[in-house]
Amino acid sequence: MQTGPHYTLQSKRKIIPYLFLAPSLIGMTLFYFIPLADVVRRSFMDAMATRYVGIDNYQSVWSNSAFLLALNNTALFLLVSVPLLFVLSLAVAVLIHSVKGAKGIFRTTLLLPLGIPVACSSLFFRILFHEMGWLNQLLGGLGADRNWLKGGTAFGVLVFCYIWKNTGYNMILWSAGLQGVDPSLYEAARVDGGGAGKIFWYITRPLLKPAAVTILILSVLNTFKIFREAYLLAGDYPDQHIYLLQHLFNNWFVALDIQKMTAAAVSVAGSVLGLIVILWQAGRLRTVRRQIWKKGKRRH
Amino acid sequence: MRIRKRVRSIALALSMIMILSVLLSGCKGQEGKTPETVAKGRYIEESIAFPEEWGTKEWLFTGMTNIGTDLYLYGIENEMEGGAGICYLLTADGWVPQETNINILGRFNEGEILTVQRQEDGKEYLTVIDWSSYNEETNIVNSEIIEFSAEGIQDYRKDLVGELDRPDWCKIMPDGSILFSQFDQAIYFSADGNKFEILQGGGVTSLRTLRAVSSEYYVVNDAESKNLLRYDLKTGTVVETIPMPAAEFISSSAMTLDDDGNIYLVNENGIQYWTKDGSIWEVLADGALNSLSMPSIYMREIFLGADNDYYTFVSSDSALQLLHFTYDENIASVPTHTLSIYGLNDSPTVRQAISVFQNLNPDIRVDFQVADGGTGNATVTDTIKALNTELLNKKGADIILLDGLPIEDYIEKGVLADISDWLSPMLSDGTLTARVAGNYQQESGEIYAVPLRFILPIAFGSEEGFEAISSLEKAAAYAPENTPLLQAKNHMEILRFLINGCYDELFGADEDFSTAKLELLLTAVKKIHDAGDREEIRTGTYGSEIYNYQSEYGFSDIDGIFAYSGQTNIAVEELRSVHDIMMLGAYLKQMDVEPKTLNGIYFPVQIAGINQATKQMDLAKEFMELLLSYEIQNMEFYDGFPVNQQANDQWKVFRDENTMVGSSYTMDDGSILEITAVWPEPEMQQKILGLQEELTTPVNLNKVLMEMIEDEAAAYFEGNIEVEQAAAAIADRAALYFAE
Repeated sequence: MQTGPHYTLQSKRKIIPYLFLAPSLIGMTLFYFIPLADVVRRSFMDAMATRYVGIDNYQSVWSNSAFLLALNNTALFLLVSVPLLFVLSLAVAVLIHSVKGAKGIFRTTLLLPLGIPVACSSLFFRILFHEMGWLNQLLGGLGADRNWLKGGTAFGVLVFCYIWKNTGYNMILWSAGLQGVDPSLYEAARVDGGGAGKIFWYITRPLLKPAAVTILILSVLNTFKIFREAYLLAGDYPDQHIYLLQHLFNNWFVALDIQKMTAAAVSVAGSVLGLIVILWQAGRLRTVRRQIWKKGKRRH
Repeated sequence: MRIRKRVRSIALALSMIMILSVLLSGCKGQEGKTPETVAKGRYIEESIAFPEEWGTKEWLFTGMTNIGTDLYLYGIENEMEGGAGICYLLTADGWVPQETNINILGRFNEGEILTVQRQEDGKEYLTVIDWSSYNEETNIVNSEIIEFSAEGIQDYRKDLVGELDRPDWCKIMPDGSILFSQFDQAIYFSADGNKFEILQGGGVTSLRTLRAVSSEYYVVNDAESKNLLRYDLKTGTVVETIPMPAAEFISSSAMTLDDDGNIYLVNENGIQYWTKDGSIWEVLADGALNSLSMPSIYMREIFLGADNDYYTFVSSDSALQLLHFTYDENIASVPTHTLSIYGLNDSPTVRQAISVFQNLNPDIRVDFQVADGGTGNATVTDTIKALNTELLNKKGADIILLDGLPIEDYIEKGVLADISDWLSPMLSDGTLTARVAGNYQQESGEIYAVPLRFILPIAFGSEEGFEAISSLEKAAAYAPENTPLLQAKNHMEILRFLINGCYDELFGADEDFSTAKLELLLTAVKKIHDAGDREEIRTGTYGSEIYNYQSEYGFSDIDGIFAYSGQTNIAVEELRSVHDIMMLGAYLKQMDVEPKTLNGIYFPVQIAGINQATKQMDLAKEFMELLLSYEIQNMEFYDGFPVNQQANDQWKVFRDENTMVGSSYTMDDGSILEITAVWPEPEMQQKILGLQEELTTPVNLNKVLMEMIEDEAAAYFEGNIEVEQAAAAIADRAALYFAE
């Protein structure tokens, strides 16, 4: 009889966390896990999900030149724009951090692009980069008369849009990280005769590492949003240099090629997941090696 | 304890399942209601056939009038046959002939009878305009109210009519008061000699005046047709302002009043009722569920029956109909079954079929969802994606109108049902035109879609013009010294013209573009444009409009008049209806040239297919059969030629001798290019419509490819890039499209 209340309390303790988790778990199951499972299932079926086709869809997707082009462009965009944004926003944040006054004006100015609707900014960029646009008029004296949204420059325009839109946001994140650095560390470094470069490299850089991971992840996620600009700038079939995975997925959905779409989505998600696992394992291996090395050093 | 714990866990799990079920069941529709639970009572329509002689005689005038709830049908025979009146009374046993004194023989030469009226004492009245009396200097036409009685024929109240300028309607009340309507005012003469004027809509500024009169009130639309104004005939003042019920075609409405001043109005939305001093229109008979919503119906009159029933006197495709609406308390208020149709664009042919189908099946509602073709808030792509989401989930409309939708993809993915089981016999027995509808039969015999109509482009002009548009190479090489091939349209319109004209050459063999063909196409467009870009053509009265206007297929209405005047070498008339042969016939006759098809092309439109996932396959097929039936296909909505062979043959011999059309164009120097047309001679009609036998190539323009071509070609036309660059850019983008 005495053990009764003990068991009840214990079981309550076990149930309560699940009750709190239940709403989001139900939501996640309904809106993420079940659709995700359906996407995987559909990737092995025909378009209307009436017939199992094995890996035909995957073969079809990986031999599709449009998919390879879109994948290549998306990866290239990721590789070019993310590091560029990463470095540029950090530089801006450090510069603003070092300025004594008017920090608010700089920050607000750089954050303004975030408040402008994509439809408006895209229209502005169309006017700016059009053949008869402001940029060509500005560069008229230099003989420039080209459509910047066609050919290789289209990729540059897209990267510019991405940087313009996201620099302010990343700068704020970096600034938050910079605020967290103890000023006494800088003072001590200066007393020891450290220059600006050395202070950044040996104090600021290591202490910003936790913020850097977050900023990197957010920057990568924001690259996927650039489709809105690309779509509004150049439509369903833009110049081949800015033809991204989202263009392809969008067009496949219009043509009801859901089987290709799901196979491509699973392929891309699987590849990214694989890459993350490899990097994570590599990171763990590196940490383990470092710990072994440190232990060995202590023994000596 | 363990059992209690398990019970608790199960209870928790069950309660969560229940919560989820309740939440999800909120999304469930109202399908599956048993007939016992359905609300009942609805107005049902019945068409009352006219007396037999109505179909055998030629009439100068036909009209209906009433005395209370008694309905009288009047006809006045064509003047050549005597001009005598015929009258019938509608009774429970049908039409019963009545004595009439109306006879207008020799009364006037070019009279137009506007209204007929009968009073309880047997006197009959016609309101007439005598156009032969028209005086150009004074702009006056004699108008009369003629009274017919056993005593003879006399002009009625000439003293009053003489004050009026062309009355277009009049009503003589039993007490002797008269209400005349003329243009934007009505004039009321009371029995005791008072007179006042009423401002109203209509006349020359509006399509039609909507009005009704009782012994106490005159109700009429205001000048903006936003409200109905109720005038008190004792004081001549507005006593009530009533918002006009929403309708797309205000001109096709009719109205009447009962003794209490309540209003009954009929338009395409149905029969609606407004209580005197009320605040809302009540829909008595929903137009969407009966013939009133038919595009072919034009409302002329509405009459009240004796038993809360209503009669609407309408004209439909030149024929008259009397529709009787009676209340059936045993039929479901709202149909219990729904057949859905989806399309990017509206279709009068489909709307016509919906009304007929609903009349035949009162228990079925046909819901036509028009996605607005990207002209509204959503783009076409967004609209297609929304539709695809439904189709992927095995939902969506039962019947899909495929214009603007990815037909080939839908067929390939199995979205559309194979309807060859009932359509193939219709093709083989000649019910449908094999030359057009047969093009939609797959090599293996399946049919997934069929066009309901087709547009027929017919070319005419000089031999060298025909030679030039026979291939891209010849079009690119055409450079006459004096006569341009086409008028100076904008580049894009010429581009569309040539893409359509040389469709088979461009897209025939495979869906791939060759850069060489594209170069030829772009070069030809630029050459034709530059050759036609002459001052006298470009800057006519409508010059700027010509320059900016882009027709869908690249054929402008005024192409013909330029070719006719010898200023260009070729023109294409886009025939959407049998009446379109009038202008073409006139051009051909005047120019003495032969018509030809444009390299055998035609435009299939309103392509319909059945959703494979429909749960009402038989019903959908039944509706499709109706769409392709003679009854529907023979209707003329200017949306294309019928694919039903019988209807198509009927159009080949159809004649409309009463219509005349014309076209004119004023040049800068003041000279006028002008041509008028009457119905062509039978040989010419046969020659033009016989060209349908030469059609070979259905043109299904891929909008994505068209946009790509126009987008890249623009830079070349503006002189910014070379033709090779433009062609290569198009080919690259097209390759990406095909690669997807």
